[in-house]
Amino acid sequence: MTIEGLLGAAVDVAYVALFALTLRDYIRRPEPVRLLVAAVFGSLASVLTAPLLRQLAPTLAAPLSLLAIGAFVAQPVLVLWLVHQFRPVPRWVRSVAVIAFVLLAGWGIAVTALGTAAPAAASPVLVGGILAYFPALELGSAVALMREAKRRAGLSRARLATAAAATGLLGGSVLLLGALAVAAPGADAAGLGVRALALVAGVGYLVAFAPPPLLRRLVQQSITYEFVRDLDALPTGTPSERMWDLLRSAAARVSGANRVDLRLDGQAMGVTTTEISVPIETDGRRRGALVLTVQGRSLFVEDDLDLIRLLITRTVRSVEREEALAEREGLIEELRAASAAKSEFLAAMSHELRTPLNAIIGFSELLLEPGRGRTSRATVTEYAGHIHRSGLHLLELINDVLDLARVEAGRLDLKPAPFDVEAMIHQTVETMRPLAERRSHSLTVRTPGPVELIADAGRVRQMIFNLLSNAIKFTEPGGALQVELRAEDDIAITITDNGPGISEHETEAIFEAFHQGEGQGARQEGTGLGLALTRQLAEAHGGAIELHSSPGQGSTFTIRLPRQPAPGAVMHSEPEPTDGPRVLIVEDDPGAAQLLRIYLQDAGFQVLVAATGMQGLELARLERPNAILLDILLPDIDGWDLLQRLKLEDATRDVPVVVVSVVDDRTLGLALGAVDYFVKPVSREMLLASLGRLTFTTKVRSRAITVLVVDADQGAWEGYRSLLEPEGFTIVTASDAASGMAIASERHPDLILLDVLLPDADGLMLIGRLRADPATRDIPIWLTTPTSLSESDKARLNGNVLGVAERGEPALAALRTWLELPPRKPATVE
Amino acid sequence: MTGPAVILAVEDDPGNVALLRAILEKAGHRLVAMGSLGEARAWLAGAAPDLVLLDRHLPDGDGLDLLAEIRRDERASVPVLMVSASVLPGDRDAALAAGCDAFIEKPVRVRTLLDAIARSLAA
Repeated sequence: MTIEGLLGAAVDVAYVALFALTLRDYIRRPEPVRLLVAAVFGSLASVLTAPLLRQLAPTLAAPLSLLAIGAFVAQPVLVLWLVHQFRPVPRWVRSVAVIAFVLLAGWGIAVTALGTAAPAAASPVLVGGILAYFPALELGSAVALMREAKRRAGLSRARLATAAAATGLLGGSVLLLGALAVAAPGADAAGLGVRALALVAGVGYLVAFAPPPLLRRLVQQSITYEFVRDLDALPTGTPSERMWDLLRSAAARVSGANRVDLRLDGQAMGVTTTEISVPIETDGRRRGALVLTVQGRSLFVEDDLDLIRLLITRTVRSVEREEALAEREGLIEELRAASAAKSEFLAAMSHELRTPLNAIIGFSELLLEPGRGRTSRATVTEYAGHIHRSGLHLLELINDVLDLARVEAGRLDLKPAPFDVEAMIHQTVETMRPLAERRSHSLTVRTPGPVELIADAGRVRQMIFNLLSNAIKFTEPGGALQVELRAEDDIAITITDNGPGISEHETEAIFEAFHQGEGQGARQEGTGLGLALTRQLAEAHGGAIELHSSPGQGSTFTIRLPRQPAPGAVMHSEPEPTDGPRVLIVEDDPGAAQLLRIYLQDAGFQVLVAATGMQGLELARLERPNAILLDILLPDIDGWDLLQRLKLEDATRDVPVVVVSVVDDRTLGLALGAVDYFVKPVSREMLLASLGRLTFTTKVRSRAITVLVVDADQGAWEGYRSLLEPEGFTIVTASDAASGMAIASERHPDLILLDVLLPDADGLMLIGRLRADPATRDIPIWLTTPTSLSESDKARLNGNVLGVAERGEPALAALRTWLELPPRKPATVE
Repeated sequence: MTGPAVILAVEDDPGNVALLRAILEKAGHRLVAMGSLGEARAWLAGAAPDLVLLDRHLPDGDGLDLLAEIRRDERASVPVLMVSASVLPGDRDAALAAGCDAFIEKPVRVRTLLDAIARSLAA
């Protein structure tokens, strides 16, 4: 065999191998493009191997020749279809190509089948047709592929350009072959050159449409290398956008996509058919997607996507590192700010504590100073007044600070329960009205009617109180204040004043602790914590405080609360008992009333507040509270007067009264019928202990209450037993004064029911003995009598006993009412 | 200087004013109290106190500003005592640097205040 023969055979084998390769590719991943590529190689291989096959199987020579001619003529049409996959070829061009193919193939087959001479010599028309048909289609396809390559980017462009060159080469070689055949028929050397060109073109196709893995890997490695090099060269603190940009350009090179978009989660997301979305996620956490937009058919294979995923992972790692660094920086900054805020708070706190202490220490020093001459009574009173006021202020300050600390530590237990917020607003406003009137403000309330809200009623009241008392304080006398309730999706309580207003740059600062607005005139009383606390309380409810104001235009504060606690709100799970004992507070100072209210509500009492003596008397008559806390210094009738009136009326006589006042006259208070007496500032524990003795209903829930019945009539014991034992009370009995006294000191009962007529002594004497003994002094006593007592006797007893009732059914009824027990069931009526 | 002195107190808290008045009048001095920097400036324009007691936190600004103004003009030599509840080292240093004669912490001790006043008036 000659060298030419060897070379020719090598080209033939190479084409068969290429055909096998591309066919395998198609079988692995059946896509139209791959099928067409395999068909192109198949047609070329069949033409080249036809002579060889003819020699190997002479009997099949004729059909093989026909097949070879058909395949050979089909090749340009297949190339055209391949091009069509990437760049649409007009329908008429394709139609013309198909018609030309049918005509030429038919003619060629007909000529060959009729078995005349060699095709080239026998049929100049066929040769001419082929010479026009092949270059026209191949060169046209090459131009189309080249144009498409220019539209693309990256690897895609390189591959399509290669395909264009290979197609051009094929077309050129056919043209050459034809020219040679005409000029020098039978020149084998020329045929060999054409074969060599065809081989080069074949390799080009292979690279373009079915690149071997080795080649692919080389390209991928180079892209990866450059990407990692650039990514790692970015300095610390580089914004993540730069990293995503690098990823996008690398992905564009890999994929040949016309556009690569980064869509991080939270942005609009939508993938059309020409888009390939590669999720960006690491460790199961999705951030978004890289969207590759490809115009026309994509040249992607799975390997390319794998590489892009690798690049994504690498980018996300770098982005995450930057984010972690930034987060740490932010955290450090936050801690620094928190520490600075804490120091500032402590400095302000120190300042605020020192101010009232200044008066307390200064005036007490003046009082204690061995004076030149005697200090007058009036001066002493004045100094003591300053000390007292400052002490109260200090107490208020400490309470507010504790509240604030509790909210900030998330330790504030809110006790949400349904209540009518309209009624509460009216009640709170009425409590504050005297204060507003003292500064000649008009105070109007606008409400839409009853509105139910589920929240911590005490805290809501505290918020309204704080905002309204600020409005009263900071508005020049004669102002117009308005409280409005609106029930929308949430509840809005608006407090509007026509005071000095707050400038925009201060609207945030005034909610900070110890901040008082600029230009507010003389410094106002107050702890400087009210607004801070109010905002915290609103937020703890899942609500907010809004402020609209500008200097000279007044201020509008709005408390916004969800109708029921937001799921995340810091709420106490136990609702506030709405059936607790009711306590009426008669107190004109809103601050003092609020403090008592908080003490009592926290302890489970229902609270009513009256700001004047007359209002107190009204409420006592109407509401029949379980106990009354009474201030002595009241704007209209004073507390002494009120106490006497309460003790004179049947409706209110049995309601125990506890005096809480700055006036220290315990003897007078008890003489007028009070059951206990506290001088302000009152200790919360002592007050609650006193009220606890008066109202047992709350106690019954937590422990057994022991009641001592001292009565000579054992029938009476049964009456008490049937009333109290079902409610959880323990009854112990005594039938005379001596055993009553003994049991009282031994068992220390929670309550004594004492009959006035005892066999061995007068009940009143026993009261005296019980009161004289420290062990039994504080035990509350109910007295029963055979008849109703005279007014003077009752007056004498009040202060020593909780109540007096006629023995028998009236005593049981009174006791039942007083203990708030349910009415007796009809079945047990005697 | 001996005998009764006219003392200007720039102080906005009524309780503190009452205390200063009680202390100073008992010691035989006359107290003029002004509740803001503006009022104090207006009063100082037509009067010459023997001594000034100056608070820092005032409704219309910082007492240190008034101190600086006093030190700048012809009354530069009038003794000024800062009486403040801001007692961090920085506050004290700032007051002394601004030229006050003494820094008195709140709560005020009667003896300390009277001694400081006596020393300043005698100087």
